[in-house]
Amino acid sequence: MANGNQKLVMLRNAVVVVLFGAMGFGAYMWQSSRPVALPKVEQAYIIEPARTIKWAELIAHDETVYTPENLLGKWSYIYMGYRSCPDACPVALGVLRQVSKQLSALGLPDEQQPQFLFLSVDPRRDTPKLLAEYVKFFGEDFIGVTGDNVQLKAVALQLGGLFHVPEAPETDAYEVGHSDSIYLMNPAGKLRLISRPPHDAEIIVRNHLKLID
Amino acid sequence: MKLRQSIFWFLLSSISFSVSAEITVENSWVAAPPPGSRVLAAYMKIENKNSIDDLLISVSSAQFAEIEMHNSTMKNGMMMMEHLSSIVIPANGSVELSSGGLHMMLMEPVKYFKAGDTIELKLNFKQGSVLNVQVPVKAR
Repeated sequence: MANGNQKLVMLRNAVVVVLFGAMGFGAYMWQSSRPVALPKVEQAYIIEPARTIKWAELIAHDETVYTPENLLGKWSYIYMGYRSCPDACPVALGVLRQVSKQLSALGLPDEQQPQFLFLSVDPRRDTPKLLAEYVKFFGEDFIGVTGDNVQLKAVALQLGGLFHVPEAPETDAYEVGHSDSIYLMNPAGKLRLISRPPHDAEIIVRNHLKLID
Repeated sequence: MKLRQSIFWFLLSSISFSVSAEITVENSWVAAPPPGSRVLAAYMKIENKNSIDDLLISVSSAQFAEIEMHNSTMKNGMMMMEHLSSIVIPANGSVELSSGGLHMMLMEPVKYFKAGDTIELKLNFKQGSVLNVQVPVKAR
């Protein structure tokens, strides 16, 4: 008799567990199968959800401390490179200069106009002073940022980028390897889009307009 | 008189054509560098109208301490500069040096070059051709 009751209780418990489990699973499936309306971007991929990038402190070309808070409130394009780069960096920054001009011409409100960061991974040669001169060539909305190697590595890793600077070069004419992607941070300071090379201003502008929508 | 003159000019032009037509350069330009940059990149199309392959073996200029031939390549997800000892210009073919690929890296300029300036490059080829090219500096 007691045995039968116990069996009933166990059965009831099992049913409850299975029911709740099924409900939980159903809710999960419903949630994850809901269509997420991501804009269709070209030559790029969206990071969903946007990813927080952390670092302690970097230094900007005006020698002020540059923290993740500096990215808040504005869309920011980031390109990782070095100043004595003959081809890839000036090409990418030149494309971003065109992006800047095209977006300004569209007359977007200030908070939708991006800023542009040139993240130098070569702090040995690229002092803030030299970076200031360099980025100004591309526009007033360009910011040169660099920092110590540990911080730079951390930022690159979180962005999904890579770079390589020789540790003890024999001369000052050494080479640097770096990712050629362009990273877009949203006004919450989170990584939202990675654009792949070859870079094209019109494509970046089209993607930008879809993302700020 | 006029006919003879025109025949002369025709013959002269055809001679100079046959001499210079072997290796030619077109659409050459150097990208105006950002301030303080000690490196510039030169781009051009080199055409070989000969029936044998040729090699661009060196490039020099009085306006630069050193010029190297490079290829921008993606290696392990990173943009790297690959040094080339020569560039093959295939027989009856051409090679395009352009942004993001093959280029000449001009190092240590004698002055700061900007858009509108001209750079003189001397291209030496394996088969003996030497080309002096006037290359305009242009904004990217």
